[in-house]
Formats: sequence, structure tokens, C-alpha cells
Amino acid sequence: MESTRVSRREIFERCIVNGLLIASVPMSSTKLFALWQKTEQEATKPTPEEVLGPFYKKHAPNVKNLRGSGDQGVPLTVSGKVLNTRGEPVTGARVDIWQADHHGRYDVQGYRYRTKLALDEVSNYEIETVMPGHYSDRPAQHIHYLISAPGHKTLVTQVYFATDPYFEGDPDRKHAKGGIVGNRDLIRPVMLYEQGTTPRTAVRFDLCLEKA
Amino acid sequence: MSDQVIQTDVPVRALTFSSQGDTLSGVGPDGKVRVWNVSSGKLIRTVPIEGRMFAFTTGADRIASFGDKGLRLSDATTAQVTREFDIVGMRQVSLIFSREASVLATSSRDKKVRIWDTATGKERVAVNGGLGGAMGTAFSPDGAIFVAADSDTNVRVWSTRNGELVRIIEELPVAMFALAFSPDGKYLVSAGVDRTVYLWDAKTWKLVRKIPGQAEMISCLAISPDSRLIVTGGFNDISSKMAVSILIRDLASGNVVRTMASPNRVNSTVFSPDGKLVATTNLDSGISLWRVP
Repeated sequence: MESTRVSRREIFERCIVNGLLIASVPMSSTKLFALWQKTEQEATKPTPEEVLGPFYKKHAPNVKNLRGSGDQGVPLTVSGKVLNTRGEPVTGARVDIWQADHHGRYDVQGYRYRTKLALDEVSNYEIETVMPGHYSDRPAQHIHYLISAPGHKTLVTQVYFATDPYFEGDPDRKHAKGGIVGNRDLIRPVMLYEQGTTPRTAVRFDLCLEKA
Repeated sequence: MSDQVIQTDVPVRALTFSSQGDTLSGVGPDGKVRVWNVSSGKLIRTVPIEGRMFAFTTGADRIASFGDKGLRLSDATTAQVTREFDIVGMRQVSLIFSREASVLATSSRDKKVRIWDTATGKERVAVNGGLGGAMGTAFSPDGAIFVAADSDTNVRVWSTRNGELVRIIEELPVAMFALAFSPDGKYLVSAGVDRTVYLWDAKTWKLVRKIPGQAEMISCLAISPDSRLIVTGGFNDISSKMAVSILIRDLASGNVVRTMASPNRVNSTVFSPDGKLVATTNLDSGISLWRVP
């Protein structure tokens, strides 16, 4: 039987010819393909690791809402998907998430602002929390993650916020300041919106796991 | 106020008494070893040692250092390098000697704990730590057992001889920063984030006792030479610059024997060899000496 396999490049070019892919500015198909490949590779790059830090606690409850009623701080929704390096959804993940409260303090006696999500049937997560506070010994706001899933390497990482005053409005240039943030990719854009009269923020943080 | 202050020109780390207890050695941020006379408080000598991380042998005769020139063992008086270890490119190494200084343990950012033979400079054992990396480490008094507290909250117990994992203590609720064996070898003591001292049986690795009562997170501790008392110090979790307490307590009852004050984060706590003094340092210059009641 004659092989019907076509290269990724051929598929890509057919998409352009058939109008399935349109570039907003005139661009050569070679340059478009290079751009496409780069974006694809970045989408499936394993999430960079960060330190676990001293405040992890085992056995956190599986809760989606970490924000208590009346808690101070800017409400924050963090959502994302758990993926493998091919960009496919990973189910069965356990996602530990912990952070400081609005005042920069970790609850080490109990489990405030701590959760361990069990993503058995799904690969996406969403938590309701507040923007973590600053504390002087580690001045960039961050949320900790520990993710394990069958067949994958356990990932320890953190997410940071592009709006953090620590980055002086320029995370591209200031991310390495003070040796706090290990990787620019972990600083995420923050969406600010209004719900009623309350300002709210939202951040997307996908987690890409390597095969074990 | 402490009972005596030894004035120093820099903040001091790796504080260690001589075997007779007449001198105290420490390392400044410039990597220079300084040796003081305990009773007069006078600086006796300054010895330049290359490195960023340091550990003295018991009695402070020799010093291990890790820095740009790798991991080395030097004479702490002459600065002569007596051993170079076969270690390459590992960041943030912590160092600790066994009591007899026959082995040296390192922990690094690659989350591995390595045991080195000080006589040969060769790596004897390399074991995988936990998910986070070792925060506190200790050898048993006979050197047969090595323990490391990982930020994943587990304490792992290995055989120094062959690296066999003897036990994982998994029931701790939070991470431990400091570990020590009692000099009589009966107990392993741990303390950290939850401000509590945990006493473990060093044969069965079962929890014997919890001693709560410290107001701050505990980052350093020492046990008296007679294995009766424990001194603990630490830091405020909002800012290292805030004042904290240092406690001397009875290990058996948990009763406070003496409460002392530190203006900021406590960096070292050590007992003198006769058990009559506790020496402490913090972020500032100076060594505080406290009489043990």
C-alpha cells in the first residue's frame, strides 16, 4: 500500500492554502512555519521547577475555595490544565497548592490557603483564593505547587505574578532580580476585572509534566 | 542581656568550641576563620579559608569548606589544605562532620545527600533525599547512622556504611530545620516550622515526646554533653529581623530552664564541652555567652 503520510510542514502549508490558517500580516510560509513550531514547542515544554520551600504540609484537604468569607486581599482565581509534553491532558493528578495569606503569613498549624486537588476524571483545575502577600525574606508574591500523576515525574514549582511591584512593571528585565525567581516563564500575566463593585484578578497556569 | 558578649567585627557562623572549651571558633561572611579566647573575649587569630559554606570538626581543629575551589578539608590553624574531595559543580552544599570526623556529609540542590571519606577524599555513599532537598542533617554519635530532614516534611535515616535507607519518619506535620542526636545516642531530636521539639527513639525511630512552647520557628538546636538539656533558637516567619527567644529546656520534662532573648534570627546555638555555657550568634556581630543554670 502506498504511504499516505504527510509531513507536518505539508499539513501546515495545506492549511494556509485552504484558508484554515491566516496570518494577520503578510509573512512567508517559512517564517510562519517557524513561528508555529516555536509556539507549539513552548506549549508542551515541561513546566520549570522551583524550590519546594519550607512551608509545605502533607494531607491538605481537597478544596476549591481557599478564600474564607471576610478574608482580606484581592480575590484571585487560578486555573489551568495538567498536560504531558505532547500537550495531551493528564488525568489522575494530585495537585498540592499552598500560599501565604494576604499578610504574607503561611498557616503552619492548620490548612488555610492549602489544598490537595484530586483530578481523577479531569485534567483542568480552578481555585478561588486571594493574591498572596509579600514577606520580607522572600519578597516576590508566589503560589507553591506540587503535582504528581501516574507515569509522570513529580513536579515542584511556583507561579509568580507579572503585576507584582517586585518586578517594577517589567518582568522581562527584572525577573532575575535578587535571585528569587528561577525562570521567567513562571511569571504569569494577571487579568484584572470587576464583578459588581469588587475588583477581581485571574491567572492561568498550565502544568506540563514529563514522563517518568 | 547575655552574661558575656564576645565582640566580633562581623556576624559569625559555624560557631564551635575547642575540646577544652577555652576557645571559640567561627567563620565570618568573608570566609575567614576567627578564634577567640572565651574568658577574655579577645581575638586570638584570623585564618583565611576559601569557601562559602563551612563546617568545623569537633573541637574546631579542622574545617571543611565548599566554594569556587570545590570541597576541601583544611587545618583550621594553619589554613593548610589537607584533603580535596572529588566534587564538581553542585550548588548550595551544606556540610556536616561525624563526631570523629571520619566522614563528612554534603547535601546539595540536586537533592542528593553524599557521604565522603575524609581519609581518602572519596565519595562513599550518594543517596536520594526527598522532593525538596535536605534542610537539617545529623550523624549519630558513633557515626553509623546519618539523618536528613527534607522540606517535604520527611526525615530519612540511612546507614553511613552502605547508604541503606533504614527508615523514613513520615508522621511530621511540617518541615524540620534542625536535627541532632543526644550525645548518649538514645534520641534523635528534630525541630522546625511548627515551633515544637520532637524526640525520637534512636533505635525504633518512634516518637517519644513532643515539647511545644517556643514562640518562633526553630532553626538551630544543640543538646548538652550530658544529654539532659536542649537549647533552641530560631526566627520570626514574617521577618528575620524581628526579636526572638532562645530557650534552654529539660529534655525529659520539657520544663524551661532559662529563657534568653535575641534581637533577630538566631544562627548558631552551641554548648561548651563542660555544659556550663551556651554560646549563640545572630544576624549581627558578636557572640553571646549564657550561663546554664
